[in-house]
Amino acid sequence: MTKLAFTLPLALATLAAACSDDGGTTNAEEVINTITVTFTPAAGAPRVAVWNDADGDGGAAPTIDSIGLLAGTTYATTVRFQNTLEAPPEEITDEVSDEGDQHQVFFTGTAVNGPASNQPTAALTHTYGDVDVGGLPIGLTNTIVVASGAGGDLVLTLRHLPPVNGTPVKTAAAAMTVRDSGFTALGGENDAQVTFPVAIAAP
Amino acid sequence: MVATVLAAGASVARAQAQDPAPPPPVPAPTPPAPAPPPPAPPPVAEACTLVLDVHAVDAKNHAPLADVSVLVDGAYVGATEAGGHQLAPGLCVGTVIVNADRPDYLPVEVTVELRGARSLELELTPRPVEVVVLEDTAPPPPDMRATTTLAGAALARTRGKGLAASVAEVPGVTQLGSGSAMAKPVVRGQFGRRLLLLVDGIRHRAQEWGLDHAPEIDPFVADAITVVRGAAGVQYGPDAIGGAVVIAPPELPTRPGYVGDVHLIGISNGRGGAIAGRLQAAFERVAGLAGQVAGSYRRLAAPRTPDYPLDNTGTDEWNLGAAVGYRRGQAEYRLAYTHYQARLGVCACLRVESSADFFAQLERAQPLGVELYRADFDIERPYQGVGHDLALARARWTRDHLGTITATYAFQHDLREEFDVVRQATTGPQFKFRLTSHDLDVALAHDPIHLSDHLHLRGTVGAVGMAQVHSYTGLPLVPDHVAGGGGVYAIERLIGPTVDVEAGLRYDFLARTASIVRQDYLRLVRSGQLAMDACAGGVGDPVDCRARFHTVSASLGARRAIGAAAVKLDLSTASRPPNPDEQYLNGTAPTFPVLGLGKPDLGPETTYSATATIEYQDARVAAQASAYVNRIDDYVEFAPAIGADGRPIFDVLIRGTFPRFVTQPVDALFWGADGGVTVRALPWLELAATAAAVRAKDRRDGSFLAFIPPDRVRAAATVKGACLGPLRDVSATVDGTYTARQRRYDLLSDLAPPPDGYFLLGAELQGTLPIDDQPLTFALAGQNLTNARYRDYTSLLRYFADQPGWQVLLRVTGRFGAAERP
Repeated sequence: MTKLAFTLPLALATLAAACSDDGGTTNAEEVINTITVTFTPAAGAPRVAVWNDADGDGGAAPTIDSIGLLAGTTYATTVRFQNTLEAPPEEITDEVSDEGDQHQVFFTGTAVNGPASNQPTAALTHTYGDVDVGGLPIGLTNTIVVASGAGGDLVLTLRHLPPVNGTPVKTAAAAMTVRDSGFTALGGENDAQVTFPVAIAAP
Repeated sequence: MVATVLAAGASVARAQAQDPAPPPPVPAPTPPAPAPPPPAPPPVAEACTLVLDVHAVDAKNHAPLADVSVLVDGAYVGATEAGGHQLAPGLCVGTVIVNADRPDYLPVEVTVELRGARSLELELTPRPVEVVVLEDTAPPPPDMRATTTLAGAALARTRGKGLAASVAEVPGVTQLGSGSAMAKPVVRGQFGRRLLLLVDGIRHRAQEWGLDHAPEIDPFVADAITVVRGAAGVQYGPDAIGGAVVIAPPELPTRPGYVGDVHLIGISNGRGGAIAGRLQAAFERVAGLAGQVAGSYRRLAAPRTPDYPLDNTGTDEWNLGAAVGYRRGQAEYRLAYTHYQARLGVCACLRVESSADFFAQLERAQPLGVELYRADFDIERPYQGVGHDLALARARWTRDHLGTITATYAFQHDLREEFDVVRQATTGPQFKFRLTSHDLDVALAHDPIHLSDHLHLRGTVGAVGMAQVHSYTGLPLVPDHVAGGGGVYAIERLIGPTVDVEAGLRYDFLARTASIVRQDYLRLVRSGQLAMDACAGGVGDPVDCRARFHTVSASLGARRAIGAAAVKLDLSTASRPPNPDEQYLNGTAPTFPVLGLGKPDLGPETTYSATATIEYQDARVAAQASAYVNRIDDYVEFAPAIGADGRPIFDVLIRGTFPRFVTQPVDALFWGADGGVTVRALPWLELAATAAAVRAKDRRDGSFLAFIPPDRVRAAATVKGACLGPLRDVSATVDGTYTARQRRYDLLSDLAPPPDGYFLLGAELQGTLPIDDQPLTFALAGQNLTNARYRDYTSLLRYFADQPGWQVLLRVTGRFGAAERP
């Protein structure tokens, strides 16, 4: 018995070492640190704005591009989500697209008028350009029409709206809920919510 | 209270004790209880006014012996009381012969020379029996702090509850949690890393630093749960600043046969139940060999508040363990293993992913989307999966003229996985913590050292060693670390007839190396929490941050018995090294919508505490009251970071703007009082009341600390003794608990004002059905019977939803067994 008392610790220690199999995976697929919005006019070079937190949450502050758009122009607008903390960068956009029935991108802010933002005098008018399997908008592809006027903020939100007990939380009314009562009245949770400054140039 | 086989005559009879061989010279009246004849005093002369204080103790362990018949010069004087004392008054100057006798002890005769009043300690040696099995370890001497033990019927009443809820009726104890099953005990405002949990003598090594982390302990393993309130650093180590919760499994049987018990519990809210059982056996073929198997399973659906279900708060929990023990001569060995596994749902109502959503939720009467909530058994993301293994090997040897040596090795493996709501492409947990710990503990409880007839010294010296590996994978939060440490301690108690004095000293050393992924290290540097060259010159990936801590704990306590009362005073100091999460936390906390940052250069926090306790116990009344003050220097607090402009700092993260919280050393002061009284007002009526209050302040600016339990009072009335149909020992209890609103808070660190005070009504009806010798106990208990709508200040749930509404619980307990009679 005494002998056992001495050999048992060794055996267990060996066992413990064998159990320590955790690798370095950090659920990289769940992290988003870069959002790229590309505004492509019918003619001319696309304008790209990037929101990037190069070292993730905390640490250095994120770098945020200003969005410069031309009044009187219609832009095909796409949104891209990435995790550039990994090498190579992880593409999150495809996951959002695949699970489009549980995700929606919202365009709000002082510079935006659209389904989720009731700012009739704002320079940017947003319309969704894509739909999920259920026919509801996702917001990865959009159209933004720029009128002349003052700039302001564009708040871009990726909301995860998983069903609760089998009942969908993403509904046709989602954008209207945000427009009328704000995000806090909407179910689900933010995967991303960033703010870009917008400047409007005369044509 | 471990029993050991003791060879006849092995213990040492002291000089006063007569040779055990001859039969008792004086036929002693045994049992002594029936009204003794009026003492025939020795021939009373005018000067015969001397008093002799006779004190009977067990020769082996110095426990006081009650019911010992005392005769002076052949005349019966009386029987000793619970403290082992009997006064013999009216004695004359000269020589008297004192006899002491109890059926299970060898009689003692002593000749005493009386010149004045004096006291006399008599050591009685247990009578040798054929198979001598004796309770040889002295009951632990009364603690110098306020302690409450739940055992027997009191413990049975808590069956079916989690660990924290089980001890929450003890004055000064509350629970901190975030749902039905996720709760941890809070003792005098201290919890988690400042409150030690001891299971089978082993410190529970787990990862309970999060507010929503419950200890991975199944209360069914306990035969008794003792709550030690007040710093107990010397005895248990520097992290027992708030006290200790000691979970003691039952002793293994010593007589051949088997015993067991089975518990069946049904619960109405969350719907579900629990089953638990234990079987113990001692084997006839191999004398001294005994074993036990025990297990439990608990499955509960999500509970309902008065208005809506707390979606996804179900519980799925099991525990399985076995122990084997062997005694031979003066040696005893024990091997035990327990596995605990739980899957605990996190309320769908928790909205912590966005600061804006969190603060908007505070304004709502009900969680958003509550119409979709269900009180079902499903446990979906978010949930926690936790597992804990405890394996231990213990040997205990008793050596004559030395004492009892106990050596324990324990291995623990703790795996905590937290599953958040994620995109389907993401599988597995988002936070995965694995902690393996090895503990070695060697202690010598030396035999009492006799300084005089009435003063003796009891004590323990010991050494402990620890090695630990922590590995973490998941979203950025805490680093991996390895740690090793050790400590030495000595506690000595001077035991006198009415006064005990105890002093203890302990030294601990801890070396820890945290391996911080370079990316995370650089973030800490950029956040201003760490200098670039603070660890290993800032080079490497990971960067190794080494920390060394030397800490000293000391305590001084005294206890004085005054009749049926006792007064206790305890002065303690202890230093606790910071935990790795306090040093290196770096990410958004999974429980709170804040960005949490650690402070790598934190030093140990040092506590200085004073506790005064009064106890009283007689046949009708049992009471305890305790007051304390606890000053903690460099108390590690997790609180909002304040910028140079005096305003809270917010960080822009990709999910929005989050308040920044940091761990920081503050100088804290805790003080308060708690106590309880039980009165048997009538033979069939028992009244009980408890109350507790604790205050905690930051001494620098007078601000209040967060999560300090509000004041609480509880009262209960029990009617017992009746028979109801075939049921015996029927009792009925009604109890009410009032919890006040916490009026002392700091909105910055609390994030929201505390909820209102509330009153909870409970009731319980219990009876026993005797079936042969195997009783079956039934109990029907109700909680929150008024279906009160309330929120608990010390629950994370309070930000989002109400606490569960009314609940009824049915409990059936059966005991069985067949053991040789002694």
